[in-house]
Amino acid sequence: MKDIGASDQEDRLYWNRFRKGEEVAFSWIYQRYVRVLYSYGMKINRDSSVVEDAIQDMFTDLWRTRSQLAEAKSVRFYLFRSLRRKIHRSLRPEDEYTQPFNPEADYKQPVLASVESDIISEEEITLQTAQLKSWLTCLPARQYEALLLRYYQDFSYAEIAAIMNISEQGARNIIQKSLHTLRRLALVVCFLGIGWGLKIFF
Amino acid sequence: MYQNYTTDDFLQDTAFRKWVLQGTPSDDAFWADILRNFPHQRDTIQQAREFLLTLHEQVEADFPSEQQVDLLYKRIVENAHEAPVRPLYSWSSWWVAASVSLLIVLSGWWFTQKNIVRIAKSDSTGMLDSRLFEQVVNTSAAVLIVNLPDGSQASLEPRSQLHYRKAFADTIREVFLVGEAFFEVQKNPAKPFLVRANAITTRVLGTSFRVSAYDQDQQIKVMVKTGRVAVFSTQSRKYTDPEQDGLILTPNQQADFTKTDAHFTRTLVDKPIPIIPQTELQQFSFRNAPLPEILQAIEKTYGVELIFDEQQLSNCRLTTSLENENLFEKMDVLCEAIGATYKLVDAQIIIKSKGCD
Repeated sequence: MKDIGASDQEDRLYWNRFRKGEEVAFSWIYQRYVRVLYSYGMKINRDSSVVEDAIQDMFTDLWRTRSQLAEAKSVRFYLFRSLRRKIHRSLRPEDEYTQPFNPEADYKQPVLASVESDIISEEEITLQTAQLKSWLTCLPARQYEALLLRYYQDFSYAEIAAIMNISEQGARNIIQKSLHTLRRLALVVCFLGIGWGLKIFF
Repeated sequence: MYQNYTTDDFLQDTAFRKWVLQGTPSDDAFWADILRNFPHQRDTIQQAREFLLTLHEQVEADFPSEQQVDLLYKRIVENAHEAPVRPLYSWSSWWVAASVSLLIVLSGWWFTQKNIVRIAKSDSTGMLDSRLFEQVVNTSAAVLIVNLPDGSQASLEPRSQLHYRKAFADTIREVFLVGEAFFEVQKNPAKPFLVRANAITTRVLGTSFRVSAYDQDQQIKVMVKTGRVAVFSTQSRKYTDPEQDGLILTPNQQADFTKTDAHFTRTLVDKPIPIIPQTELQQFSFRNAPLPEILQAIEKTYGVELIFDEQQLSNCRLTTSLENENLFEKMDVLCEAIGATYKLVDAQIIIKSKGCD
């Protein structure tokens, strides 16, 4: 888990040391972000070799061009945006906006399969988590991506817009829409006779 | 304002997210107050909390393994080295490169003669700036003493390497370790001393301790000889379990960090040694003394916690001294004498006995 907010300053410090050619600072940045970047990459593209290659390329490029790099206001932002571009560039261009990180099938499948049996055996809290999890994976790729950037990575709407290559209003809309989708999914589950939906989420 | 918050509003609230994902005790107190003041918000808060934690779990589910992280870094370093972007124009840079290589070859020859390679620019990556950094690689079979810029000392084990700034920074003393080393750190409370080793960081103000972090090992170990040592995961993930986040170690304690699940456990070092001065130790000589008295002396001598039933053991009497043995040898002898057993749980020793008649 990244440290919200307070860490940006430390990042900048290491970023500047890295630009001057210190490998340890480079390694520090790598160690700090490789895990969340990888996880984020896997949300954009489920093929781990694509994600690994993109991360490798990105960091290799960073090292090679270090002397030309500018001071970064937010290192985290810079890395997330670069990685997303790398991954999308490695795909065919027409895939860029259609590539879901979960196959279409996921959209319907997981909600129903597990939940019913869970109700009988699991405690309420476990059930909530299980449902949420399946709702989250049900979300269209870009909506999930936006949620993740906003609520897990704590990016501002402006930053999300720049990372996802959309307008700031677009970013707000996506977040609103994804929360709405989550609510709707909760309702669907509800109508199917699984009475937890409304009670649990919103 | 919180009384009218919706789930969305809570999610948008940075302070709320911070509490859920990396909550500190003071945050807990703050939000407990909110709950007390606005009990009708309990469900809403619980929903928002659940949402964040689930998101968090989903993100972590896709974390790469530590082996992947290491491997990927090696590939990056190799790549960066293999195909550097060279400017096309420059004769002078060719000359610089040539003379640097010559220097490397010469210095390589010179240092390998001594069986110790003290290099910077010629490391496998070529990425380290020799003007600022010192890199020490111990290719010999013996322990290599490295004197650090602040007067601290590192005893570097074979197949290990250490790099650090030639002049430590103003605010911290920071060294990077691959492999194993024993550190004796000069006291300087104003300037913490950090050992970065793989995924963990060990932080001290002035003390002595050992860090073992070989790439191929599944566990990273930190063993404390004197002083207090803080160990934590460099990529801290606070929301899960405070034990995962880090430990404060006292002498004779050891932290084991498992790379695969990024988890710390506290235990004792293999051979705990006395932490009190020799003169004080000599006073611990017992003649037909009740066992609890001896055990309390052991606690003090090794800085460990023993758990035993004082009343039950007060009838057991022994003649012994505390010199010349490490803790576990001592415990073996004592327990055998009174027909008891002991086991190590975390960093505590629990003694089981039926007492003496």
